[in-house]
Amino acid sequence: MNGLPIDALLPPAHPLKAGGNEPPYTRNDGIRLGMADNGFMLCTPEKTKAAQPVRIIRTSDHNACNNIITMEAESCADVLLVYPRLSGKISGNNDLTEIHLKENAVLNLIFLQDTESIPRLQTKTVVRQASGSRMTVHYATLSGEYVRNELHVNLDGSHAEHQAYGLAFTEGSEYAGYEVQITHTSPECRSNQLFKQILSGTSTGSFSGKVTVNRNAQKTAAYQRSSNILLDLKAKMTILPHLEIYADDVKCSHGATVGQLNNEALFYLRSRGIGKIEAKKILLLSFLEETIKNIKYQYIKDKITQKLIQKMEKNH
Amino acid sequence: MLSVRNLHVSVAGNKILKGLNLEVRAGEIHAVMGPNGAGKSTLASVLTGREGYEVTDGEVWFEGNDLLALSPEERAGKGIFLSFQYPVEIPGVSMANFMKMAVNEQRKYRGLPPLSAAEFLKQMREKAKLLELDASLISRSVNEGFSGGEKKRNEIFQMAMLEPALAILDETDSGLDIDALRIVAGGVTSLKKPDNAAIVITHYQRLLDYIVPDFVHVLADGHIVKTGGKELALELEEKGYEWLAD
Repeated sequence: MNGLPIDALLPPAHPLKAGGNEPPYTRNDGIRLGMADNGFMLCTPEKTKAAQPVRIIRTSDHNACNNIITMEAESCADVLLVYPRLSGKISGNNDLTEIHLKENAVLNLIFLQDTESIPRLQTKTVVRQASGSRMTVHYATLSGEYVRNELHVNLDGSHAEHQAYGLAFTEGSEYAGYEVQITHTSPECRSNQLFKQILSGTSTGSFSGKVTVNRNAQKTAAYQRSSNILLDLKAKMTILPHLEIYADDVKCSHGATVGQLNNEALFYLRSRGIGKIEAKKILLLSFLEETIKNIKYQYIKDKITQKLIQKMEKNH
Repeated sequence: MLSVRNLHVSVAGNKILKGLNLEVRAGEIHAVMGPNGAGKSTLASVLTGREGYEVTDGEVWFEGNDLLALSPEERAGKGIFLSFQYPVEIPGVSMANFMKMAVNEQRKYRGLPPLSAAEFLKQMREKAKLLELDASLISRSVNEGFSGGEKKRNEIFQMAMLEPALAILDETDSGLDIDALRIVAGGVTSLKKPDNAAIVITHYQRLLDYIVPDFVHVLADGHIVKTGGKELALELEEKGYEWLAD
């Protein structure tokens, strides 16, 4: 990237305020900013396209990172944020990432979280999208004692589009939670949330998803779905779907399910000669497939799949 | 080949099969008919190892093996195949991958090397043609978005790929129009060999116009109340099942 637009250095102008809903930043964010001892800033100048995916590795030597991504009009980038397994001495990580997409900018963002040793990881991502911009975010929470991801999106220009996907596979006493708030403040925007979790052992999970459609955000299309599989009796999932719609010409839906592995499907595979463990793996991977199929880098998909298989083999 | 002796089965404490006996030899087709609730699907489930069925008495031998001691996948490895009454949709798993795994797992069980990719694809195409299934089936997810008729044809397609010693067809005719019925029955008939056998479970005589059985058994109230040749099916069609209950 060459050159930094000056306004990228300024604090964001309350990305969510236009919606007049939740205050965009909470006391916790103050703590995040106050403690921030590192971070990155990524700016893409107008009409540029990052030829390679930008890969950022988040080491565990820092308490909190404050990151900023500013994408000027019609720029385009893929960003991979990796939270690797590192033996950091710090007990918790608390990151805030602010993202501004200007007109027609396109961002693909992937969170790959396989932290294992960090006891606590919290991320909050606040997005403001101008008209015609498109963002796709994929979260893959593959391990971590406590992982919580928050995503706040304001679709603040017509024809903006946001797709949010998330998966988590928790085992033992792990916790993985997602909180997603998408606010449609402009007409003719689209948003889609699809989150799936598999829980084994005594692990817990949560999904809290909210879609707000403001009065003037006519012709909104907003979808939300959370599907979850509990592999053990003591695993626990909490789901809170919300829709708040103030416009009258919109298409919105939400759905939430918690269930077990489909026994009849398992029997179907076994009756064809496929062993029980293998059959379970096939079904669990097929359950999660929908949440990663739009990732365009095969090596990332393979990495996620590999880790999932490892975990499944431990938890059959 | 298959020997079912004095089989008693309960489901959730309810006695469904009450002393069923059945002998199937290689080269034979057996039709099992009977009223709803007689235990026909229970028989199919118990023979293939579906969970939730408790065998309280009796035994089942298949080519010298104690069948009831084997897992569903081991039974498949031994050559038993079930055509499901309600085939299951598995999104995200392609038919090609599913069949490749199934074929090669069964080959592994029998100590055979895996099929080469070319040989496998060739077989997929040949067998799909036999069941008049579109070639695009290979890349579609298992049963996802298939029509009722396609699902049943897909069951027989899998049977053609796996070449089982004993095929159990559980109400394969239900929900089929006459064309699909003809295709399905034609598939089953063309797979018939002197060294394999089939048990055809059906409520109606209709299917037996196309798949001609060597024996027809009437299952009522948990056991076989009458056995005859193919003409018994016609008699049942005419008189219903009541006359046998007395």
